[in-house]
Amino acid sequence: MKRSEGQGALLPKWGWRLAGGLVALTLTGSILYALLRLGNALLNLTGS
Amino acid sequence: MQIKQRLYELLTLCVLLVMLYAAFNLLSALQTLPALPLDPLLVLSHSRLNVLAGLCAELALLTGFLAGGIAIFQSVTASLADSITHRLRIIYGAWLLLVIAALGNALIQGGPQPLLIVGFGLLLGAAAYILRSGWRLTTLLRVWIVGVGLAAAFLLADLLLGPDNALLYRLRWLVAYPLAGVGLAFWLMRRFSQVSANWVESGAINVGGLLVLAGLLLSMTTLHPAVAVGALLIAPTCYMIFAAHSYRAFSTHNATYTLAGHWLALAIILLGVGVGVLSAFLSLPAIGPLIASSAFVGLRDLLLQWGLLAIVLSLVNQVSAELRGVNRRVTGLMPFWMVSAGVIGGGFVLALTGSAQVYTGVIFGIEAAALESALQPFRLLHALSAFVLACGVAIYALGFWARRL
Repeated sequence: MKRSEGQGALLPKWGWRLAGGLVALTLTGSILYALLRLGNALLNLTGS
Repeated sequence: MQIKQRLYELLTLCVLLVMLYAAFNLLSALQTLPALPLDPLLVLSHSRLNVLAGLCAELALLTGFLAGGIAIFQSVTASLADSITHRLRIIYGAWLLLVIAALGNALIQGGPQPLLIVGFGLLLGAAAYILRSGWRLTTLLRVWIVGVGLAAAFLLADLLLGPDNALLYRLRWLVAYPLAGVGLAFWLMRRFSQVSANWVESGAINVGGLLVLAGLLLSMTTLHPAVAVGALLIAPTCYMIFAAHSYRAFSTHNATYTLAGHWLALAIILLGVGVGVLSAFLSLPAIGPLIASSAFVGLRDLLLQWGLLAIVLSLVNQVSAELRGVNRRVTGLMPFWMVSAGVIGGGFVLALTGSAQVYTGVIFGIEAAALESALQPFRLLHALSAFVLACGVAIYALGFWARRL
């Protein structure tokens, strides 16, 4: 059964896609931003 | 079929909330590192990010518990009465609206509104009541209902006694949530192990009772020093009995390929260390004031949150595999090891930071600002473990999405 095929879903399919996309973007953005910050902190610590 | 669809949607919502928790937890850890010029993260303060992370963790936990109750109910009931399905549908819709409202409110105002707390309490109570009125009330469902009912009562009491009440917070996290978690944990054991239904039911009642006793003692340590000493002796014993009792389920695995057992084992280890040992030790009257503003508080919260969330992640593994009707892993071993490494590694670093803070700051009287530069290597290690944790959660979510219904 596809999720969107059921009747009376909590959110329409596009709603789940939008929510999932926004959350995935937040997590991916945080991970990429963390790479930048961690790299900078490592450079600071090693004195480069 | 509708009830299965609702269940899957709740699991999806739960995974989305865990992803948000991991993201805010990572951003919060990054705030402790030296800032970059024109840093975009300065828009959100460290305390705001901590509030958001804590809220997402609790919402994910509650959503997972709700899904777990429905899963237990659905597994013992061949077909649901239309009236129950309809009432559950209203609860689902209201739950989703409340989650969105709570997240929006926390982003704008920085904290949960009393009205939203009441909403969650009422909905949890209503869900427990509806499932109680089902056709077949099993022991596991009873344990779950008592746990969730207590959580609902403590959430509602938050409004009467004022928000951020420390006693209610401890009762919720140390009594209500572990009890609801025990109901789910023993139900999961029956899915991945060969243990008998009788063993599971008696285990849930005995272990649930012991964890409630441990939680009550830990919540009331400020009443009298003897209670704190009692908690220090009894709480680790209760959690040790939980671990020893569960070993039988882990040692007699059945033909299920999901990783529910792995996540549950992680949950029992984290709860045993975080609640059974650390919370009991930190609540001693002579130690509590020393560690009040140190990293030990963050360590206790980390172990407690992830101990309970691991039960929910175990549930997501098992229930989504059963809903798909395919006996194979939904999320693989990589997210399991990354999350384990992130939590245990991060916990180790927090313990080191806390020890340094207590000995240098509180005992030797060195100012916190002077100590901060010396703590930078620990801050970096803590951010690295939050990074590993976030990557683990991202891979978990990818697995869940790749093997969707």
